[in-house]
Amino acid sequence: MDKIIGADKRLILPKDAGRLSGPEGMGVWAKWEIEIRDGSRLLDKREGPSHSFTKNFGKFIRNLFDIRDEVNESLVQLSGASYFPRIKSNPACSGGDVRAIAAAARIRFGNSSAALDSNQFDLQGTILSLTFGATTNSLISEDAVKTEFKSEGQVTNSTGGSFTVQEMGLYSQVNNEPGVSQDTLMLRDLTGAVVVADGLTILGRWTFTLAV
Amino acid sequence: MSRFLKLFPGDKDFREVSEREWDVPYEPFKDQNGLGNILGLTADVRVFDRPGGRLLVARKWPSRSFIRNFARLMRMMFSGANVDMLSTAAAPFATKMALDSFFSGHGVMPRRSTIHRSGAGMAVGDGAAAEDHTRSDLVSRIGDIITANGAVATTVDSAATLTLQITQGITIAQSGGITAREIALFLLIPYKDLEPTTTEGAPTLVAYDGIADTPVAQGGVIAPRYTLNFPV
Repeated sequence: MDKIIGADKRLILPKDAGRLSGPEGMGVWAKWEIEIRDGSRLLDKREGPSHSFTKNFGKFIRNLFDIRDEVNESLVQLSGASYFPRIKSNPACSGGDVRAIAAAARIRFGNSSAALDSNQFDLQGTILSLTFGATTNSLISEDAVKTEFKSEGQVTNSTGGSFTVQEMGLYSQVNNEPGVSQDTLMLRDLTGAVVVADGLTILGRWTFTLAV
Repeated sequence: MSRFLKLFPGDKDFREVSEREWDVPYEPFKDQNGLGNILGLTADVRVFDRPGGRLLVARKWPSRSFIRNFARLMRMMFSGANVDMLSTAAAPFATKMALDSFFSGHGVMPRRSTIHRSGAGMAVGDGAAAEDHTRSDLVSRIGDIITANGAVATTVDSAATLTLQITQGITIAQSGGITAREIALFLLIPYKDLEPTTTEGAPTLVAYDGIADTPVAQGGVIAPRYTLNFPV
């Protein structure tokens, strides 16, 4: 029997269209995963549904769709400072030939279990290690049914003691109008308590799904 | 008398509801198969007998759905590497999202004072086909893509959510009217190396929905609307 889809039950997708189990439509879906590794050895792995775009993401999208001169949504970088992203800059803007996104997003982990709030612009607790983890971003599939892609990065605990991760965040590197990259929190998720012993590595991953 | 029809998540059929119930936003969509809904997309269409006239029918449903172009925008936001967008002619083109611009000082999108046909756009059609994530245009678009960049609104801005709405009324001039069967949201986005003051944004499909046959008489108005909800 063919699978009946569509809001009005009129649109028909053949049963062999290759749909995997998962959401159908309704926007963007995501899950987070973390892995604790000792070198190449996997020690622990867990995952959960992501709940977590910040307001920065929505305002970035609005700036793409709304080009009115009087509407320019500012974003908030991790220090709490607002800035205008290089999305609809005026021709007179300084900074030269820069793109909107400077480089791959960065990840970091913290130890706060504070509730999610779309106004948040940084993790809420102490940060594991001083540096961000670089991310790699991969397309998993793009076909007639869906796009799936992932963003993942890792940090090694070099604090000298164990660290309990409770949260992780993904920061896009968005150029401001003068063309200076700003670490801008786009997602924050709560992971539950995960202990990372000194010298171990924690890897975080978001997998995004957009499906019809 | 106006009719208000609403499809609730998990239902197969629209329900006729009161105007008040129709106006109530959907609750954030529940987790499915281990995935959380981080951007809820819903759609509605309203049909009026004339511009500024009487509402005839309003229909609202969870959208299906974002097209790969929207996913590609997201991929660029996180990867910082260019992924070509696809125009309505399915022609790939690069934007200034993740590639430097040939023209100094221009962002991804121009402001309206430099170009008018940019930003959001909407259109309706009378074609019908299976949902396809790789679609580049309506199956059978009626008329042109109407810019909607002045009709983007933030309707909710709170600690729990941000909600954006994009809508545009399209007046039907066709003799005998039309039967709309599909609606779409476009992003009119300039090519990377074209001077924004002299060119239009390339029409790029980002969301698409088939709808039940929706007649619109000549002189009537159909107003598709997409609502983007970012819940935590």
